[in-house]
Amino acid sequence: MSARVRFTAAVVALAVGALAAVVAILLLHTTLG
Amino acid sequence: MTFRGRGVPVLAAALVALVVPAAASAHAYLVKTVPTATGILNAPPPAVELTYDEAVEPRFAIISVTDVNAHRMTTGPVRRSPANPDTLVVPLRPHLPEGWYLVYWRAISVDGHPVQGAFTFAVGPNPGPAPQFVVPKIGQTATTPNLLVARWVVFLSVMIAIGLFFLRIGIARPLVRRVEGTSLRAATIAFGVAAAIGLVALPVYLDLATANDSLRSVFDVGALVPLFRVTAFGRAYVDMEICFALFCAAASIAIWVDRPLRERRSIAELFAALGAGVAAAAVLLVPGTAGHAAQTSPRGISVPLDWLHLVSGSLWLGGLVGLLVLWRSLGAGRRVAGLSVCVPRFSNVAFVSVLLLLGTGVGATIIHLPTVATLWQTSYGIAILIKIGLLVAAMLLGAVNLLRTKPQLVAARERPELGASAARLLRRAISGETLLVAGAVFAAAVLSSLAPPSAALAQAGSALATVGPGRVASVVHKSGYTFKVLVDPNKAAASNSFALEITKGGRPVLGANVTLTFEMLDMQMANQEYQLSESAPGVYTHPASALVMVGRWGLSFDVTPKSGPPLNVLVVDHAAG
Repeated sequence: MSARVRFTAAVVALAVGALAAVVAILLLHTTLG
Repeated sequence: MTFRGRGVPVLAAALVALVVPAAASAHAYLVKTVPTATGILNAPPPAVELTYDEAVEPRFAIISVTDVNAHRMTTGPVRRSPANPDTLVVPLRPHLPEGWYLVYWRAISVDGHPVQGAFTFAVGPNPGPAPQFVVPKIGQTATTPNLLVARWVVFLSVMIAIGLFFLRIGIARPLVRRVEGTSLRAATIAFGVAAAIGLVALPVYLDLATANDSLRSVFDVGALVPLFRVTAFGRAYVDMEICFALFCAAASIAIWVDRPLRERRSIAELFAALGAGVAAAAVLLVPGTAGHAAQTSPRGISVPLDWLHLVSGSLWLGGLVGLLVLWRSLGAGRRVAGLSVCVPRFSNVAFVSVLLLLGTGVGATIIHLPTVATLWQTSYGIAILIKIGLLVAAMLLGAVNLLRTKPQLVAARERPELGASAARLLRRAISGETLLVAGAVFAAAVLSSLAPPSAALAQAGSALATVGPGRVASVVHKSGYTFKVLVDPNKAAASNSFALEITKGGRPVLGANVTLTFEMLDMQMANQEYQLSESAPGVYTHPASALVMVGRWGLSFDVTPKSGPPLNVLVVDHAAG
């Protein structure tokens, strides 16, 4: 596995984590808002 | 076990804390009814209107209106009032005849919990005496065993998956480097299994809960799926499934790019682990927003407390499961060496987790329970006590590990023959600990299904007596007066006679002003107040259908004698159906 592939996968994981955070924050905003 | 040299504070922590991972709530409650409860109308009403403190979903609501012979008087489905989104309306037959009617209602709170109640009204002008209606069984929760088990499996699988991921990516990572011939494959597989169970269990639970709320079959998936996002509870669990799926994806990538043989992590490894960590944090934020925490003031404290409680519980539980998996996967020759790498590292995490569980559990309990006595007086409090008991037992097993196993593991470095027995003891204790913590998670699933005690219960501690169910004739004393409280027949949704007989020094107290206030203690409801009239010397009475639902009622008599200071007599009455 090349370094480029690994780095791309890691960026995808980071983006996926950020997306989950956005979903949870939007839910929190809707519920508490 | 797990808590390096810190057994005493850890045990002390367990004695007090670890209370409430889920949170507690304010459920939907009725703020107004048209017609008014127990009211007598001169003309038949065209509809029954129930106004709640929040916008409950009409598709999940039941409002039945029946006469004394249990004939249905409604002519259409429950609808939301166009004038007020918090009001539900059900149309009635035109020209209802004179007589008494029972209204039974059931609604789903924003947090997903069913709430129910009943009241009567009459169409006059001469409805006659109020009959004894048969009230449907009214409970604080409509949770079924299936729902509870599904909820438990959801919590367990999600928490274990998250905890296992952090064990695999953080705690156990040096194992491969320090003990030759070992692998983390078993921990990775265990994470995959827990994640797969969670991904399946979440929609199954949502299906079961939606079927329960909408009174449909669980197999009517085509009709249930569109209802998933109708309530705030359903929306939250759909979002939890999305967040959990995203976490599983990010965590899989993080494990895939991880190279544990290298001591220092690459930027790619750090990025991936960070992504998975953020996703895990997002997953554990959702139950609080879907449950009691988001409904309990101050929400700025109760939601973060709930989140931290779940985070620390996940790290502890997932770590325990991970240690068991490692114990089994490491061959007998490498078991002691492997455990001596992982157990101390896990101890640090477990110690911090238990402290966090302590703090957040105590904080949540203070927020949700109006008095200490509600711990043993309410089913919600009893569930907390059971949870504490299970966790205390888990901590005792932890102490066994700390005092027996760990010294043996350390000694095994010099005397290898001690290692096998130490590892066996460790496995037994951690197995027991895991089962007990899993039991505590079940208690948490029960907790989050129950209504937290009403704030009105804070007053119940000053009650002079607890009476009922059944006819009441109870004598209490206060400030030199003797009060005899009479309630007949003391049944919910029936016309009851309430009387207070007041004597002082054996003589009836004449001409006092007596008002009686009814306060529902098991859930939030508006209070009712009646003026009692003196029907005999020193006897103050009033007939009323004020006990509109089964449960505990605070009967608060405010007595102002003709001479002397006013005083209050509070009695807690249990009204049966």
